[in-house]
Amino acid sequence: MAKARQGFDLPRPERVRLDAFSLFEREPTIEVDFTQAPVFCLVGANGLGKSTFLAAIAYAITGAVGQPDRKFRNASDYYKQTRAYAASYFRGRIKAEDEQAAQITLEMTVGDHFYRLTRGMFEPDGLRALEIFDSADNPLVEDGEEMDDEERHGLYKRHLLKDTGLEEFSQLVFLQLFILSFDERRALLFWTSELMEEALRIAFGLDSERAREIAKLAARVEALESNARNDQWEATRTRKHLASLLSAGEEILAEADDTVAEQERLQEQRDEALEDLEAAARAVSDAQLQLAERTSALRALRSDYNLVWSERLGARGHPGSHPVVARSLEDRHCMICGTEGDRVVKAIEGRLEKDACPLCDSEIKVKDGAVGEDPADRLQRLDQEIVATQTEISSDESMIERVERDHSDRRDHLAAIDKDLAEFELKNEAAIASKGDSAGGLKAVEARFKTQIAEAQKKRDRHRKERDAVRRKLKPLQDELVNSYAAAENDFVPAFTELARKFLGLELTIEIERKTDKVGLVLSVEGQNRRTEDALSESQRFFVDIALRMALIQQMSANGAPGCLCVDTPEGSLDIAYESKAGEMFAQFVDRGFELLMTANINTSKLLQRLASRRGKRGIALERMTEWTHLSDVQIAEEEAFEEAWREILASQAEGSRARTKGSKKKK
Amino acid sequence: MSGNGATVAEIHNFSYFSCLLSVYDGRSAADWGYDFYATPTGSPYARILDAAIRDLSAAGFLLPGLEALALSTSGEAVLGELERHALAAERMRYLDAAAGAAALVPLPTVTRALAQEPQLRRVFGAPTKRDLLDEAGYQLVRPHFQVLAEAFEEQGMADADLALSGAIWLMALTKSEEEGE
Repeated sequence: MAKARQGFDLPRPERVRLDAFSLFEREPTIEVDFTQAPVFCLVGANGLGKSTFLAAIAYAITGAVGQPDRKFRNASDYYKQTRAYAASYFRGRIKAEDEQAAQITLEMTVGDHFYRLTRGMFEPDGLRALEIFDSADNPLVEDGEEMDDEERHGLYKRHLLKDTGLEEFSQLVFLQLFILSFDERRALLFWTSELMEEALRIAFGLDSERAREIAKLAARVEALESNARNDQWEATRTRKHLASLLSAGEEILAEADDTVAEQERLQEQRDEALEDLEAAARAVSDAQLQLAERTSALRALRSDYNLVWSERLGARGHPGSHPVVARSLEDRHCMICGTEGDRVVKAIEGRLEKDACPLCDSEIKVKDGAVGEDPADRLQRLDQEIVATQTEISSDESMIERVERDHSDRRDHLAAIDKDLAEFELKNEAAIASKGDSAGGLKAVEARFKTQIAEAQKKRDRHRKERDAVRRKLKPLQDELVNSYAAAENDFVPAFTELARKFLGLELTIEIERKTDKVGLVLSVEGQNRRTEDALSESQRFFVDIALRMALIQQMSANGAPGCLCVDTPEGSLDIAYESKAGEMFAQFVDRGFELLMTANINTSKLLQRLASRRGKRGIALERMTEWTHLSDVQIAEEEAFEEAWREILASQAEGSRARTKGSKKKK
Repeated sequence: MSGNGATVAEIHNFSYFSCLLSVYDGRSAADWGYDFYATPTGSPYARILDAAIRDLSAAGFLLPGLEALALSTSGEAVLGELERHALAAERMRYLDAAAGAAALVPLPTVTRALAQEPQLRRVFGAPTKRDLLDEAGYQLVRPHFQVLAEAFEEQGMADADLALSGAIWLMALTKSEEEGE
């Protein structure tokens, strides 16, 4: 159950002093008093530093400057992220030689306590000076107390939190930068759900512990939802990638088909070449065998020839063919005794016919070289066979030469095919592998992708489950917020609608709405919900949002401690038709007892004139900042116009004063 | 050879000369069928010839004479048989050419001329025998054969008879001996 909220004591700036603020070249040291009227308006031209002036006030209170385009998640996160921004913001506006000296001294009230603090423009976490007094002017913190700047700042934050009633400094920073300010960032609460929810949490009664819990749980839900979206995106992306891969894979496979077909063709060629080589090798072997056989046959024939020849010689080894006997017969002259004549031939032949030795008359045993065939005929035959075999051998040798040449050619051919095949397979390794059933195959890739998709979906479901669990914890807290809002709705909604209607001139209302994980307010104009920014014009958006701030300030402000809204040049966004209406809206806000610290361009803006007219001299303090710095040539050229505009504003103010003397309003 | 036969030395010389003619004709010395080597006296010698002479003499185909070996009647008959053998045909061609060259040149000239054959002249007086018509020996005779062939070609007689070629070479070898080359 939410704690009843008594309201916060929000900081109300009273005076500010800038030292060595080199942006204001003619008045680098300047003091401004906001206490003369509930409305303070710093009037100037574009580029003179009006926005910087308001930013410096917020910086003095919080040590922070609102960072444009910084995504807001929650107050705590925003404070952490933007602390470093202040230094860079002022660095562009204060000269380097003035950095050390540049400082802001702010006097403000927070509830019953009065603060006077001094902060270096580049020291967001330190205070150069601090004094705090109670309502009786008793010092609660005195200047000169022995502590360093950081300790002093820590002390300041503790007092400030205690005095505002807030529980965390980041909440004060959020309020100062987003609720108590409408600055050049133009952050719109209606159309920034995180800002709206933070504002509602603080404004409608949840204690900081619950607010922190809601913020933490909402952040967790958002993170889990983001994770689930990422998982889904991952699954979708992987699925698309797979589809694309499969689609491309069809082409790749088609190419792979051709590649594999080519590979198979080359392999077939290789197999054929290998077969041819083996056949050629067998032919060589056969030819060599044949040659060996024929050579062996030739040797045998020669051997036979020599044998037969030997037999021929041996067969003619008969005593009758002995050289002495043969010679004796030839010459008819006995080689032994010298006898001559026919009687020699007769005697020798007579003994030979009787197979007796011519010399000793012994019986001669006749050796016959062959049986059945005449040795001469055998020799003749063998000679022919030898010649034929030699011819065959010569043919065999030619054949061997041919088949060896053929074998060599086929070996080279096979080597060439092997080389082509190896090069082809190396070049097309991926395509060949993708076709196969190996781990590199397309099917395996598809399986891996599907596994990735399933895992991503599993993670998504896990995140969603966890998100839903967190939502279940968040819901009761959000219910508390909604209930808390409902309790204050009767005051809050009219507070808003009256202001906003002043500006729009249309019937409008707001309703609280729970959207999934967030609670927000929906604006309805003329019965139509305006959920998106483009549903209203720029000036309508801005001023409706300012009205919301005003209503929130009213809701949050403790009784007797009205808050102060800082608004930076709103009329720059205004259509002429709405200028005076905006002035009315501002005037009504102030009429409720709140304070307005604003900047405005010095022109014929009806807003300023209307406000000045409504408030009169006591109700609005005008400060002309054209004296603070040097004007540009354009501004100098228009100085007469500026003066005229200033006179009109003053005239409006005077008119307002006269009107107020007829019926004064109680200053809150 | 003598009119009534040939001495053993003449048979070796004559066979070697026939082999040289076959080389001149473009054949390889290995095709001759047997090898020759040079004796320390500078004469060609083939072992197989010695054995053949012995066998033929033992068979009565060769008859020893006072000065030389001669073919007997049976020897002539065997010669007629062998001439019909194809194995002998190639060798017979060069043997006939050598015989034809010897018929054109005085017989003493043949022996003396062969002694001037570059390989034989090189080994004359060497203590050991040496192969003839090996690669080194071939390189010694090749120039002779080239000059001989070119000379015939210049005369338009590229296809000159081998016997004539052989006779011219023998005369050239003789002349080189006379001129002390």
